Amino acid sequence: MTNKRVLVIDDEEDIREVAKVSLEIMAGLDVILAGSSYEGIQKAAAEQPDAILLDVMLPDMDGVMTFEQLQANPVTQNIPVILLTAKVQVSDRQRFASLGVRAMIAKPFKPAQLAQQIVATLGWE
Amino acid sequence: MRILLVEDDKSMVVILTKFLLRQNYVVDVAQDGEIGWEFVESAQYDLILLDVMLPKLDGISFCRRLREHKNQVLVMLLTARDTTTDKLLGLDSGADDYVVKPFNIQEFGARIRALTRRGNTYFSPILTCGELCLDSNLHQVTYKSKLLQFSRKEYLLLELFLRNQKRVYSCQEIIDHLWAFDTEPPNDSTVRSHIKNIRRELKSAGADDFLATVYGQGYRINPTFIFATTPTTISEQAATSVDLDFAQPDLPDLPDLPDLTKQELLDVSVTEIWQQTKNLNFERLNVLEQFVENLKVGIFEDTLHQKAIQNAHKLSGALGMFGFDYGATLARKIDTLLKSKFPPLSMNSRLADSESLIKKVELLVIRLHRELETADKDNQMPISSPISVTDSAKLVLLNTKILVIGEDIELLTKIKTFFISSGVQCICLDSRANFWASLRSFQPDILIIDISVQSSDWLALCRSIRSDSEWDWLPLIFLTASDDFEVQQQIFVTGADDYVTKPIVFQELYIRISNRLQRIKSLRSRVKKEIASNKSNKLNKLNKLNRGIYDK
Repeated sequence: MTNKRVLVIDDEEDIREVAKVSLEIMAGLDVILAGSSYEGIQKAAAEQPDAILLDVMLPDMDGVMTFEQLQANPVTQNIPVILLTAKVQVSDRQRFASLGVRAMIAKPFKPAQLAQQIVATLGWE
Repeated sequence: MRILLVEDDKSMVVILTKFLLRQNYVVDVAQDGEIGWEFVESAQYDLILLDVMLPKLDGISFCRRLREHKNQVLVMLLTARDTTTDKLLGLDSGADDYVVKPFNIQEFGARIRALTRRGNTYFSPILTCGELCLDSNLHQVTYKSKLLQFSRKEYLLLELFLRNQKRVYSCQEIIDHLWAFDTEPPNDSTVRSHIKNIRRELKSAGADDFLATVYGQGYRINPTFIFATTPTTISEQAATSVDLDFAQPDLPDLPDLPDLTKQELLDVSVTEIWQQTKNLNFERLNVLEQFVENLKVGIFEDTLHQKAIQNAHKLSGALGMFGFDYGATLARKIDTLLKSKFPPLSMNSRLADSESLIKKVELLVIRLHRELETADKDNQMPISSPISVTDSAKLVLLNTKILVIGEDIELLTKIKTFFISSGVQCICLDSRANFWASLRSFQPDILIIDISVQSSDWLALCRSIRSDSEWDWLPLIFLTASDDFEVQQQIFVTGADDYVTKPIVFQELYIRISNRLQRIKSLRSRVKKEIASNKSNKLNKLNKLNRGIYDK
């Protein structure tokens, strides 16, 4: 049995690591980590994960631009992307949704709920 | 005891490793059969946990190969297959036991203990040598019934000697047995320092020369201690053959074991991550402090302002994730203030408005600093369970007794309604008249004093509580209308543990009370444990408890 693989792109080490253990322990997913947009885009193309969890605030390129780059590459454009964001205003929500982002998860997230939310959003239950 | 886990399923690896480490085993992990085989060739294991469906070299072939190489190490197969043929195939390949996934982790732990007890090496849950006794179920070591304290590595080292009582171990051999491959191997001096610590602890109990140095070779148990040992269970094990009846596994009577659910494993892991990365939060806080320092001397720098916003934002995300909800709220407040009110219009003219704005930010940053320090000092994580903050606080506060005193009758009524609806016992007093009598008859767990109406001298009341030998431990929370720094300083000097500013956000009050009570509870249980172990004198510890409460 192969596990689903999720790429987590976040520049904050603690958030990255907590997301990782949450997905591994609570949902049995395999997790690939990237600490920057650049690294994330590379790994998305090379590793072909089943989904990407992407932080909106990244220092080298913001989440929306990262998302657009992922969309622009035929190799990664079909990978569902979930945004990790503190911006949960309706206008932002609509903007992200219109871009094609699969879902938004608000920060701070609770470790136990993160895995549930992702699994439910992607219909992996 | 050193275990090799050969398993390619990542989540299984995470869960099993955490579980095994908690049981004080040393664990190596190999993700496929070939790597597993390399591990077997380079280290001596007491048990191999082997997944059947493995990449490169499957579990059955792995096991056959072990036996062909005359390697008699204990093997337990882990597999999703659950047919008799598969079990027989597994056992015929030379495995000693078999568990079918998904399995109950407690049963899995019990099977490991059962297996190692009847194995070809000497494993008994209770190891004795003279008057020294190590109980591997309870992870406890006693000498003449006195409980001894050892670090994890010291415990494992002692266990190694006790399982092989006549053997001399060199430093290198000790390292090979007790350090997994993925950890940096220590040098000999680390081992020597562990030995030194073990000797010191043994000496304190009267077992002065239990571990003897064999010059040029290593260490062993002093033979004079061995003669008194009863050679338990060895013969018994030799007579036991491999148990083929899997329907009735050989489960021993077990003491209560930590029940490791996924949630608990997640909690343990998140706590570990907090420990490893908490400095990040102090660095983030440091940026905010720099920003405030600059403001205080009249410097406003746009880059630092942006950096401060970013870091407040990050703090709020990280602290909330780790369960420090109050810290996260503070960080969010700072974030909002920095975004909306800065740069203050009057930065250059230093008008009263901007002064008070700066003070406000400073106060929030100071509070946040205190929150972080408390979290760090307690070395403790809040509950990260999926229940909401309010629910978790409710659990803590259920049946708690809260006494509230103040003069604002309307507020007192609101507080009372709120607490009682949440299952908390609450009495409100609107004057000091019956205070001491109510205190004695109600016996509250915490006292809230509303000092916003200042007709009564509340601070004097606070002082008299602090100097009362019966009630000086009582946690005090103040409700204040003032955001003024000096007033707040005064509150703490008088002996308050915490304060909440008006308008009161009940949820915040709730969280603060539950945090305080949780900390007191954990301090108390720590002290109780220490007292029980007679490690040091009782009075000292109680003092420590009291100091711990006041320091906050």
